[in-house]
Amino acid sequence: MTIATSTELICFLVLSTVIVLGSLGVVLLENIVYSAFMLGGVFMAVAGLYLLLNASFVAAAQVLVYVGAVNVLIIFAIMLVNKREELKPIKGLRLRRIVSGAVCIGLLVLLVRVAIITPWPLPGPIAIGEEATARIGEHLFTDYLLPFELASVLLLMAMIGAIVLARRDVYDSELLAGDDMKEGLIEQTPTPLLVDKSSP
Amino acid sequence: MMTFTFFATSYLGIAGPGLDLKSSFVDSLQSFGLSTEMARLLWLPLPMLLVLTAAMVGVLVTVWLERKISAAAQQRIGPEFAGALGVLQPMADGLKLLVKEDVIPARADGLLFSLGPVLVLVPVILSWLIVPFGQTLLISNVGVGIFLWISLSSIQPIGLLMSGYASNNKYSLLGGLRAAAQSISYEIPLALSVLAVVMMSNSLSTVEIVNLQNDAGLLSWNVWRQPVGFVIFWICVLAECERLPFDLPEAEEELVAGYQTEYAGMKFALFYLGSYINLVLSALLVSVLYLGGWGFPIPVEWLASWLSQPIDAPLIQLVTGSVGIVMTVLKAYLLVFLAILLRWTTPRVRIDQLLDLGWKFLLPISLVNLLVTAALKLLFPLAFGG
Amino acid sequence: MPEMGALLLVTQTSTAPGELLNLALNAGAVAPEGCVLIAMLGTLLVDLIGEQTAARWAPPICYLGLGSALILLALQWDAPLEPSFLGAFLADKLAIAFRAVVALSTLLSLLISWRYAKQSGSPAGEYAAILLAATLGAMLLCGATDLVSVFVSLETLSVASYLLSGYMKTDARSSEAALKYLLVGSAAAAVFLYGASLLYGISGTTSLASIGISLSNSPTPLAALALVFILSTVAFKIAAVPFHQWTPDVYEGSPTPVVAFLSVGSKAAGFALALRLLVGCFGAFDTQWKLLFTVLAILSMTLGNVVALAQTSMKRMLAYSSIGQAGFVMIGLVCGTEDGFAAMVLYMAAYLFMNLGAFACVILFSIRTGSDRISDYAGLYQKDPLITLGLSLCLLSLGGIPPMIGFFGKIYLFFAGWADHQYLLVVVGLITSVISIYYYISVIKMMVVKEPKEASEVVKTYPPIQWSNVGMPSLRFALLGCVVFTAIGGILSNPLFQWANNTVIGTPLLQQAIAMSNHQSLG
Repeated sequence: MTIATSTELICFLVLSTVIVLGSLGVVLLENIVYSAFMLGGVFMAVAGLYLLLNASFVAAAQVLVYVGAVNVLIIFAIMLVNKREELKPIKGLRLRRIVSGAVCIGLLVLLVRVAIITPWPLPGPIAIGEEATARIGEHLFTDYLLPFELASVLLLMAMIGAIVLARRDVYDSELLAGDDMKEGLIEQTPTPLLVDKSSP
Repeated sequence: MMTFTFFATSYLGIAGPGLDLKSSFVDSLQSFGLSTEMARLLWLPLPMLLVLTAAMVGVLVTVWLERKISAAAQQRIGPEFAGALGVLQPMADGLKLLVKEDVIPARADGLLFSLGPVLVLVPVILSWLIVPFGQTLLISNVGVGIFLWISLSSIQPIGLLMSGYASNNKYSLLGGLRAAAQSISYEIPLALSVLAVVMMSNSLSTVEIVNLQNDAGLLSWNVWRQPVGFVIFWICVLAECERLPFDLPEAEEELVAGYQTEYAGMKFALFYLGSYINLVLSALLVSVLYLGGWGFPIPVEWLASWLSQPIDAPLIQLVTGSVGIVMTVLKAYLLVFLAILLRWTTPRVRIDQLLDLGWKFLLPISLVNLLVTAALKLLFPLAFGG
Repeated sequence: MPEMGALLLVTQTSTAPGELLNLALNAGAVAPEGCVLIAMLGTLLVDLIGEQTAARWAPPICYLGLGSALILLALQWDAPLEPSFLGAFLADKLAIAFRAVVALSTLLSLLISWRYAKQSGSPAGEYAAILLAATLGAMLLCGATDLVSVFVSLETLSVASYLLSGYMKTDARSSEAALKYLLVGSAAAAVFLYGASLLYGISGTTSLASIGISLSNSPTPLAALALVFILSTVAFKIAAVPFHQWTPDVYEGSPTPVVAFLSVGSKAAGFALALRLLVGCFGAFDTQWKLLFTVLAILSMTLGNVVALAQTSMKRMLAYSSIGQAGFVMIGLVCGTEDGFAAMVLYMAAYLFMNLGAFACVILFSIRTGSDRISDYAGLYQKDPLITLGLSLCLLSLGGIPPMIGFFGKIYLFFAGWADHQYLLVVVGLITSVISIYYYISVIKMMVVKEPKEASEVVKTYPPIQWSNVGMPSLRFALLGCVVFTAIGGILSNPLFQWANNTVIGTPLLQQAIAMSNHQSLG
């Protein structure tokens, strides 16, 4: 075993350990802020795995999108609403934990077993390394053109929808005299159509 | 993070024609009877050390400059006792911070409190990997080049949020949140203006980007082809570095010192270092992206041919190399000077003005800039790198 | 979702990229989607001008876009079949039929939603735009033949649906519905991605046809695992038991026109996806997925129809009934014969009209009274004969009472199932149909039989009937159209049979599957 392969193996083991322990921490830790930061660590370690696969563009994109955008937004949201609140104790929590743990372990055993008995087509395709950026671009504009364009519609619609859901409606009655509020932004007062009459 | 550096360097090392320090180093070690692999392994830490040293020296110079120029702007003298013209003052500052007591507030979250500054500093230092001082004078000519910098700089907000949260102080938390919001908002126009440059250069690699600007010296610099992108990039870089007029996260009048409020000693020094390294790095990248990087305003090749010297003569090579380093640093420090000048001449913006500027002004303009660049590239492929 | 990145990176086609650039995209196949997209952008643009302008111009723009999409779909019917976007999309007759169902369901849902939006005070422009985006996703999902386009269109449909179900943000139930739908839906999407990444790992390609070939060459246990993952996502989309838990809450909390779209358009897209993935891709695991679907169908029919019995809210009842209806459609899928597929297509078309007709009546009632409790419908025929008649006809059709279109659809499904020896499914279907007739009829009985003095408070204070308000004419048009079609569609069902059969005959994918199953049964 040469130094290069052994360092690669060591790096793989370290990264995998970080991913496994980190993901467990994300799920199991009581403190949600720790979970969020651990998630960032897991994303970084996944980027490391991509680097090991000689896919530097995907690794950089992973860091940019998942660590730089997704994780920061998650932490941001947690910090904005981090309210210490005593949660109601759930009935039969211990039993639920045991059941869900058993299901997860069963799934893991199944996956591992299937992964072991499957004849994988090895070795896989050779990594194209530095060419990857250009190759991804070519794919996006040839055989993945339709999903690529559709993704733009998806993002546009998600953005508009998020704004619609999140914006604070301004009603006539809330306006103070002298506020410079554009007419178009004033909403008409909503009336819930279906009144919940089941609970008097 | 360390594995990241390790692999980036071990796979990609310094490559290309001309000065190849790595192979000469490896060759010389091999002559002492070491195996090739061992020699390569020994080479690995050297570029990293070099980067650290360069970054530190850059910071020391910048701090001194900042103090001196600030003083000049206020008609003071500034530091003058430590060394000639006070050049040793930054060293003294550093020493003071190094030996100061390291205080962790009683109700703070110790682990996150210590980890925060590290997460702020490390990505900035890592980004130095891609800064070229010459055709082959960079740590690693990574294929994803400038994209690596963008993605690494997006890690920083996590560190800021972390230290803001862990300090258990409302000013810190607000500062951290502001810093993260600011960083996210300005990253988008920044990336879009970089994208316009990348589109013209047909490559993400910083070396390629500079090479394409050095055909006709001063005239072929990107700043002429991307004036709007240059301005947007500079504004965004100032915002990313939290320099005035965008230093809201640490606005003294409102937030004491933002996320740094509770920090002292070496941990504070890490923030301090991080912000100055980031400033120098940003200035270097502006010069790489828009001001022709290591290129002399008149191409060295032309000068050599006028002096009827062969371009690949060892002497010319050496001169070209040193001119490259000097030019890159000179351009960068001109920009640093500009940033310091801006600090004393512009008032701080309000947080809503800051976000308005980012989302409602810079973002649309940078999108239009990108579209116009694409159109120009199709229309004039010669001038815009077809 | 790190799988996506890996998926993109390692994808390598054997052809050189330069050659790919010269290939024809054949983008005309998605012209109907283009119309929908243009209508969506137009709606957004008029919405930018202002609320009043949007309310005035958004409806005609939407009608124009969806109408031209339908016309273009009709024109595509006889066009020669060619894969477009280099194999990402295929406009075969199956895709055209299901896309037409989706577009028509959006058109009808929009017709019945203007008044609702106006009265609930929610902005109409953005609502229409998001609904059109959902339509776009659903239509592309019907014809997508590549894992990546399947996933992206699935996500477009899902994200738009989450947004739509949370659209009444002043109503806590709507927000709750959106959050539940989002959480469960994201989990389903993640499971789908996991299955898709396994498929890609086995076969090295994202094209469904190539994956199908690769799976039939070497059916590994891993592929069976991928089948389970993908099947659970499909079952989630068509709300089959036990993947149905989100349905009642989401249907109850969401705005009613959105429920109308979700129960028809989204479900039709889900069935198209099931056909593409299971028939087109998992041909090698024919017996396995048919067994799984038999279980799902029996559970859906039984649970959907039995639980619907106990509901007091009209929307919840329709939610459970839609779970049961999906169970009936699955019989056709399990058969895998020509009749089975044709019965599926026919029943989806019939279900479109009868379900949307029922929803139009429910919406009209809630606009006039603000209630959707079944007991509030008591004695309605005295005050509002139109709702009574329309709702009765649609519910009878859903239950499968003879002259209505639902009867013919259902009988065709059962016939196909019987012919394919799926006796258990057919018997369960028959029994649960009888159960469903019971609860449908009890609503009708509530409306018709009660004496005026027994009428509910709501009906006693029923407002005078007015059709002149904004959005009411279109609601009346949609209601009448659906009810008339439901009532006389049964008599004119022959062209519909023809159409459904032609759809199956003109779809190479289904023909291959039929040929294969014939071959197996002979051998």
